[in-house]
Amino acid sequence: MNDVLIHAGKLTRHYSVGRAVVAALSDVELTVPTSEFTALVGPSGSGKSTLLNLIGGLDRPSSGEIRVNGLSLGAASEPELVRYRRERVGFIFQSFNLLPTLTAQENVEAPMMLAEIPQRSRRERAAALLESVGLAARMLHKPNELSGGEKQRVAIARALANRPLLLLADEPTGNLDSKTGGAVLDLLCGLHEAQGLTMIMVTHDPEIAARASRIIHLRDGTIQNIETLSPAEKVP
Amino acid sequence: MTLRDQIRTALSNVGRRKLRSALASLGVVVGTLTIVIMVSLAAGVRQQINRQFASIGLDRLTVTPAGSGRRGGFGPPGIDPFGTGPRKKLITAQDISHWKQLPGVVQVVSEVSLPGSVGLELGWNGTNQAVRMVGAEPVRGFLFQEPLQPVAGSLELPESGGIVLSQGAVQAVGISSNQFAGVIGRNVEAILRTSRGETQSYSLRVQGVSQERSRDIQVSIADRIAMKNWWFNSTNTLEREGYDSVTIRSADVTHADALATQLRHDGFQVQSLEIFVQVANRIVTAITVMFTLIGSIALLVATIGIANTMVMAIYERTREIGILKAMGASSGEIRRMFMLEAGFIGLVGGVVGLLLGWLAGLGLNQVIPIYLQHRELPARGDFFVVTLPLAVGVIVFATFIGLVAGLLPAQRAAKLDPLQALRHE
Repeated sequence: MNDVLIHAGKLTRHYSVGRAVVAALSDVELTVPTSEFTALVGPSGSGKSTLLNLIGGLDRPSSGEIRVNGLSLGAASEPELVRYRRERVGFIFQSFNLLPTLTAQENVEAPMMLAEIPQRSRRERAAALLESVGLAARMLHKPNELSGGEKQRVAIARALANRPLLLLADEPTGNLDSKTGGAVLDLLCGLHEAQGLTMIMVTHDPEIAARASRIIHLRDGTIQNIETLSPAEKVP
Repeated sequence: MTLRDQIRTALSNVGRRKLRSALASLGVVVGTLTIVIMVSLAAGVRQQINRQFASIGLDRLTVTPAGSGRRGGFGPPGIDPFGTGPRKKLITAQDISHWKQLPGVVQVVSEVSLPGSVGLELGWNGTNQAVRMVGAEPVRGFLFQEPLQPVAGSLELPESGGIVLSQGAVQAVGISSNQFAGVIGRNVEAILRTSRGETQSYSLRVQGVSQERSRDIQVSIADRIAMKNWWFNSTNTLEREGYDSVTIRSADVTHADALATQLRHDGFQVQSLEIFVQVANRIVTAITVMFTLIGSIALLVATIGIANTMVMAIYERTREIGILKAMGASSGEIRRMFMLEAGFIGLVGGVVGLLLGWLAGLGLNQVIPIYLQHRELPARGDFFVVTLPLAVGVIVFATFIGLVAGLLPAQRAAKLDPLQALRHE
């Protein structure tokens, strides 16, 4: 019933380490419908981050195809890929990756600056987004003046700045204690439900994965099995 | 990313590491300072040379009719040693009044000269003595001498009836130098004598005594025309032959140079010492180029400092570059951002260097005249002159140097792989 947003076919990514070739991902077949919350789980080295980076257009496949919203990321030109990252994808990292010299508000403004949105409207939108993640009072603070949970909230607001189709989160609670991690997770799940955002989250915590509608288990670069938790959200 | 945002980002990034940016631009400051001081000194020296040449008469040029037989030599005007040959282009009264109105012309003195074979005597105090007629505007052989100065009265001649005597001519009559003042206003006779013994005398009023030691007289133009008419037994030598020479004084050497070119183009013969000015200016230009090259080498060395700072900045900000790329910054935007930073370091260095050089010049301009006065050297005016082209040129060059220095580091930053950059600690 939902449109297909992401489709991967025979998706493979090799890395050369010295003379050896390491297959981080081999022949992955995957389809993700719009507005679904998918969790990628697996031990380290299973290829879950590699898959996330390929979906986010930060990396290109060695072979096979990955198509997001009609754009074939492997074949796309560099400007097309830059535009895709800027306008379609919001990234959330384990280590927050805020720009250290900018305030919370400026960090949220940064993607909009890249998208050439006029200064006044981006300032307003940044303020509104920070307010929606509960940081209205911390807007003018630099990252080193914020707690871990606050940093991750800024990062979430930043990821949403250019109204992406797809939210990609790489262990977003990995650097947080369970209480703040839980709050951040609640925020993400709320966004997913309220805005119908498609969300893919890398995690190794089964409890967090349990909140997704689908869990994809990866091991040694291949999909082992796919759990569908909610009967309403079947893979088409 | 708009250019405005790129500039703003680059500025705030430079401002973030003030000390390091300042140290990097120090090289540019030194290079710019060198160029500004050296080139402004050369410009000042050029002005000094022109002023010095002007003071010895290089701002004057002597126009003679074309085909008059006088070659472009160094002989004084006023006497025509070769007699009058056929003239192709006459200097008319209209020409003279036209030249008087040209911009940059200060004075026009027209001359009518007598043939060299004319016998000329000065009749005074009951004695007759042979004298030489010189022009009203004696240029004194074009040698490097100051113009004639009066020792009594003035050297200005009225249109008619006036005479200026040299101190040699006055002393020859037996009047000593402390009595020169009493000579002014006296009437003397200038007597023309042909080889057949015919004479004609002209009564003239003494206007002044010049410092010249040989026995010279200068006579008003109307009387010289009358003398020439009598000599050739004619009534219209001026209409037939025009003026024999005209001395034009310009406001400065540059004007004289341009005027000489124009008059030559109009078909007159022009003598001037502009060639000296040209050679001197060519030497100054060569020195300017040499000085600029020295300063440029300093600036080139400065590129190493800027490039080093940029490489360091990019290394430190690798992770930030990765974040920007993940958010959708293009390689071009990253490259431009870092090049703008480097260009800005160059720009700041250029502006500071220019200001320092300008201030140093101002200070030296105050100090040097005191020294020269102490040593009794006759130079006046500024020695360091910062011209607008120098100021603009040096800032543009410094900025360009910064951009060039930033080119390779910025290219490296642009090429970074976003994933590797994000993993950088």
